[in-house]
Amino acid sequence: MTVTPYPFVFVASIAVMVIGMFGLLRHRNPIRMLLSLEVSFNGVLLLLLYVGWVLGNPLAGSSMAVFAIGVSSSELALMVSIMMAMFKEGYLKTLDQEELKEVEES
Amino acid sequence: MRILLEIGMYASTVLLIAFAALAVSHKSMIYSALFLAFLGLTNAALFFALGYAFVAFVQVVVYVGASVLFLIISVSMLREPKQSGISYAYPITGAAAVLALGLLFIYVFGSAVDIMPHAIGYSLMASEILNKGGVATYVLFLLLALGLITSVTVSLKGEKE
Repeated sequence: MTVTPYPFVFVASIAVMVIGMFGLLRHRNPIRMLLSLEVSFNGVLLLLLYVGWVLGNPLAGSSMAVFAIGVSSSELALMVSIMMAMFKEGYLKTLDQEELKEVEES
Repeated sequence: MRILLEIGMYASTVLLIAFAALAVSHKSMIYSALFLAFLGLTNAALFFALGYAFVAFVQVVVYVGASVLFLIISVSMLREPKQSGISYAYPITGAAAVLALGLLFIYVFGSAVDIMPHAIGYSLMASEILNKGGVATYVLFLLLALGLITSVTVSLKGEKE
């Protein structure tokens, strides 16, 4: 059985991962960092499925991808809930970590 | 048919990179979350083109339809922090454009053989998951239930106080 390599899918998945990592390092806002992490997760997911497809074992790749999507959804909901609750309770006056640092130092 | 599928996949990869760059670099958090949703949908299209129809369905329904929508609604209720520092929108968009051209080069000169998407059916995948990862499935189910209960509890606590 011949399998199409589709190298541009591989390069795109790596690029999305790198863009997500860049955002994670650059931003100081926790929600923006979470968004960047999710961008990176999408790249990883594509890479996982692509590798499973190229290696001729797509069943294992798809099973792991479904697991990963479930765990990521749960984690996203939990993180956003915690941040919203902290914001509402007043632990966080702002979501900008630079401003938080200034408040802490003063 | 084959060339149409290949062009569609190439367009999806370019869109994927553009949405990733916009999600990371856009000034508004709401728009960033929206671009994350578009990124998820484009990713689902690529999964479908690779033959993973069920994973694409899960990606659209569970990830984009539930989680990212929840994120968009939550972010829309928050006050946006003021933006400071240098904007990286133009450099990131430029880098994404260069990368898209590079992908076009790979697409034109790369090695492409026959298209043969693997048809992964729901029943086949369910049997694989239950046979090889039964315990992991139960643990995942417990973790998801625990995460859901914790999310609701934390949100309700914030509401009461």
